[in-house]
Amino acid sequence: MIRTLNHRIRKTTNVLTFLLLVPLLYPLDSMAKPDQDSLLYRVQVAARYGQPLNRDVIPENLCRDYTVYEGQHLGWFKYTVGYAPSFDSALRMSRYISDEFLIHSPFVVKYIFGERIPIDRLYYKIQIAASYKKPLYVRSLKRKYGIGPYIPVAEEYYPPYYRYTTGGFASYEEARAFLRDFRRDYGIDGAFIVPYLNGHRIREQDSVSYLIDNEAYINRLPSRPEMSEVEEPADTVETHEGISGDTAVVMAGDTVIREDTMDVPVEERAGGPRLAEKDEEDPFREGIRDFLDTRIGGKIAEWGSIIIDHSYKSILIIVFSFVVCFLLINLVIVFLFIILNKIHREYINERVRTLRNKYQEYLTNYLFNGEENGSFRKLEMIRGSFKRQVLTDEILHMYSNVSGEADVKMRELYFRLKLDEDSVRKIHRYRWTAKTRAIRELARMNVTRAAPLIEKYINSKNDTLRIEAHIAMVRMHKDDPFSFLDKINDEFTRWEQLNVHAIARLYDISIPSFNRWFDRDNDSVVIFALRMAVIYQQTDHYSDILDLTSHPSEKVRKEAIIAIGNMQLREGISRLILIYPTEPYNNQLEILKALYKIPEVSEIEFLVERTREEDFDLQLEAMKVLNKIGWEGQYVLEELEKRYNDEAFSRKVKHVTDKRI
Amino acid sequence: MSTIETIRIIFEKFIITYAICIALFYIFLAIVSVFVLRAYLRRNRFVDYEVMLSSPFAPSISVIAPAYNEENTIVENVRALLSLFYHDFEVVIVNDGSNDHSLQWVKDAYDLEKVDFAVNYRIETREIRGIYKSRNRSFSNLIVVDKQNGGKADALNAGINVSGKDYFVSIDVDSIISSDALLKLAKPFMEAKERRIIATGGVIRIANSCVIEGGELVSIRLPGSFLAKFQVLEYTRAFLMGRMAWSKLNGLLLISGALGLFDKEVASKCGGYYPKTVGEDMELVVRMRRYMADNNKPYRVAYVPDPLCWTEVPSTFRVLGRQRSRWTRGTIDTLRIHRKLFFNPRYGRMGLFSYPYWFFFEWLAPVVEMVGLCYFILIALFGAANWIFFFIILGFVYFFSITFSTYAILYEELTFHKYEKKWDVFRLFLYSWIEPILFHPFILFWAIKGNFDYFIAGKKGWGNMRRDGFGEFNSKTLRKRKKGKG
Repeated sequence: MIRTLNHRIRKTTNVLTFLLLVPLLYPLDSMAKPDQDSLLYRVQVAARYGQPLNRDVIPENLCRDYTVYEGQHLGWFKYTVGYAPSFDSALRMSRYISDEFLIHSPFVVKYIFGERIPIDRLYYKIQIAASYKKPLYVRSLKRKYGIGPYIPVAEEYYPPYYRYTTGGFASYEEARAFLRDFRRDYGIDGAFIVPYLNGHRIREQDSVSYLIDNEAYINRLPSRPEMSEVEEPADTVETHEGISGDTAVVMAGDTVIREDTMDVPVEERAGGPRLAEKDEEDPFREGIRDFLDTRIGGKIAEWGSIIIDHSYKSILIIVFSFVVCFLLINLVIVFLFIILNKIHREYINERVRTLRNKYQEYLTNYLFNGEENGSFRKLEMIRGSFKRQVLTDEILHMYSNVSGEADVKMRELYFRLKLDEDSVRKIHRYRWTAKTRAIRELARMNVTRAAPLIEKYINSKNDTLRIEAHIAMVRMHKDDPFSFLDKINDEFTRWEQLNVHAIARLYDISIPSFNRWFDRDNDSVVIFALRMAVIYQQTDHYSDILDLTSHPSEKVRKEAIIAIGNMQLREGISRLILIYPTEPYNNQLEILKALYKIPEVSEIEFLVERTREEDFDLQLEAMKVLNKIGWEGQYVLEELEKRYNDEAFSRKVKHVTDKRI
Repeated sequence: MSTIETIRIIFEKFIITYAICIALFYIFLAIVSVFVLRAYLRRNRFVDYEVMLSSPFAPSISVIAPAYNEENTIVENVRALLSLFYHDFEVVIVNDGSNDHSLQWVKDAYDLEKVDFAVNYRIETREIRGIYKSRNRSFSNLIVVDKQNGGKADALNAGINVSGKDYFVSIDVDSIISSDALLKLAKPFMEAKERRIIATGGVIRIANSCVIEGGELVSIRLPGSFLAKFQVLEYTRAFLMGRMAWSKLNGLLLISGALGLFDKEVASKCGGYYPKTVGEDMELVVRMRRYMADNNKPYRVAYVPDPLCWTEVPSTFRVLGRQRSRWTRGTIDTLRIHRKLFFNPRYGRMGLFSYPYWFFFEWLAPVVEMVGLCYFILIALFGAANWIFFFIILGFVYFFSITFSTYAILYEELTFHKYEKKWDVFRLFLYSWIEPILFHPFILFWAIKGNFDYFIAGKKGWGNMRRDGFGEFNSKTLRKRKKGKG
């Protein structure tokens, strides 16, 4: 007995525990749910067909104040808030929600036993516009009439019409008052009142019969003349080709037929005055759709709209989609370009090769047979800038490879074919490459009349053009080839110097005395002159070089020191020793290197002092000179090695005495 | 809105901004490159490099090649170096304590003997055991330095100490240097005006599958190896589109260790190569730039787009992975050492532009990518992914990368068009389509591994990598190549 009781108690406890657990297993929200069995009204704030709505689009403060429920019905995801015992309080709540949270057309829905059922209540809305098969954009519609954000406009779809309505009024009088104000404020004379029953649109006469059936509302029945005075009956809209409201709006533009919405059940569409999602509000999206509709049209616009409807989340998606399309097209173009360029390059190379072979044959013929076999005639017949350029190149090529009589003949031919005129013409061209080529041709062929034209470019900002002008000057001014140095304003770089020197060495150029430029303000010109004086061993003007060791520029002094060494100017030894203490490190090193080239016993005392330098290189260079001086120097080195008795020093002595290094 | 939500939004905004920035940066660099390349090629048409060959105006250059266990190729490669076209140059081979017969074979081949060379340790290095010169006068410009093993940077420093010329070229002894490389690299130094050129870099190309005889390139072919082909795309993009632009903007921070010409004075004054890092090539350039900026001297780092150096790239995942992880560690190390540059207006464009670029887009790019990937997987698992957006962005990234590669192929075609066969270009194009799928994930993984090794495993220096150091993969592949040839 006790056992049975115990068993029962245990059983009851288990059941109780289970029951206590139930609420915990549910989300906390369900705790606050009112009795599911009773009748209640809620306010639908949003709906979306096919997929759940991104919760972000539901205003945050609404979520804070109300619990938003998601329900699924015939493929629609519907979002409702609040609990009201009566339709009227629910309507008040819906108005409050509309005003407070700026929700577009919230409306009342009825639930019995948790099931959504149609509302057996008549209410009225105002239709602003309608469109046959093609949806309009709520935003553009509102923009057109200047309807502010506080007046929500909903889209409803009763195939084949899209209708745009606003408001929700429990009584006809309220709706009429609103309509009057609405017509006045926005000038939409075609707007009219539409009655709704059970959540969807009904014909006007049905609304009247409904009111008669429900006597409680009989006093609200409007008189017929009054009604016809202000509106067209809703069911006559179709006879007006689906146009109500402003005709111009509805018919404007090729609005897109959204075939997908055709399948949506009428009542569901009608029940969907819904919260417009953020993306619908996006001006960018609408801009694109407007663009597609008005500018593109046809199938493309249709597809575009479909893509946008399905994919649009933010501006970035559209931008990136366009970029991807652009990249794809670009890829194809670039690839084709690469292939075509390859083919084109091969073609050009082949063409140049053929032309060169042909012209070479003509030129050889001309060289050996003169004009007898018409080779000159053939050459003269060559027309077109491309061909003449190839010919010029070929003549220049042959000119630099032949000598003696043939050389003269080639030059003569260049003038006879008037290729010099081509070159002069090219120098006036805008492109620096053409100018440079022209200068090169004119200089090679020594067209002296072009010298003044070329001279303009010796200070050009373009390095290549400038160097070419320098080279041309050297070649064309036979009597004074380096006179252009006087006109150089900017730095005469090492590269320019190298090129000018190379030309002077390659061709028979008369070399002037370079001391003429030793007093120039442009240090780089002085340095070049010094280097050239060394190369051409112009020792006559050694005193000028010695003077340069006191030049204000460190670089010039360094070059002068190197020059003294390379020219083996014994007159400069004392000078070098004298300036040594005041020179910077690099120049000191150069002085010792210069002395290495002019070793003299007289330097020993100076060099011994240098072996005490702290710097490794200075010490080593000084020891090298001592070793080079001969037995006197070597003796001094040995003595120093003994005196210092330092391993590092001995290593250096070994280094300088090792002839293999 | 909860804190997590706020963080999520900020993170997503950051990622998209980052991606757009990096894409815009690449486009910007590519556009600058077009102009630089065009100008260079046009100018080059009128340049006669031969005039430099015997000119007393050309600067003197030491070619420093560190060698570690290169016995198979060293003799051949030294010969190639000695036959470079230049007037006043010497070749300094630094045997970095090889434990094979590298030194012996060079000694035998070039009739070397030890000389009493007193080395000026301007830059501190490991002990130099001996310096060798040839008894044969025709090799008088060859110096071989035998030293204790100390890594590539240390070997290069020893070479700088021994070098007796004004400029030095650092090369990998196993790369093939084009014979006119010195002429082309030296030219920018001679063109300098008020701005001193402190270094010039050259373009590195891929030598896999090319025909090489006697240390010289005979015929250029597209690599046969799958991995090497992807690297062709990578190198073309990096050199023709990236570095060219950076040199124009005077913001170049990296001159590849395989070939670069440096001003010896500046390099030794700022302390030479830093032996404790794996990214010694980049570190030196940054330090030289810093030195010049600190001393208020105007300077520039130049770049030559000609393909001057051909090198064998790794063709196995293992070696490539190690190389990439090392590159990443090198980058991080350099950025860490020179963190003072970060948005420092004192260092001009380097501080405001190049350094932040390297920081954000070279070092952080794989990190951000990895974080983004993990984040995406997470939200996809939770079902919160916006798939449409994902596919659109994925499409964008994919096509952007292909477009970029295609443009690199275009640049190559319009400039040096070294791959003559039409089919080669087509193959490269095809490879650019699969590169983001098949090759990029590995690159990403190795970069992350580099970060992991650096920060977590604490591998900062060459560490135990030194033993199979800088030339390891090359000597192996070269050996294969030789076998194939023989």
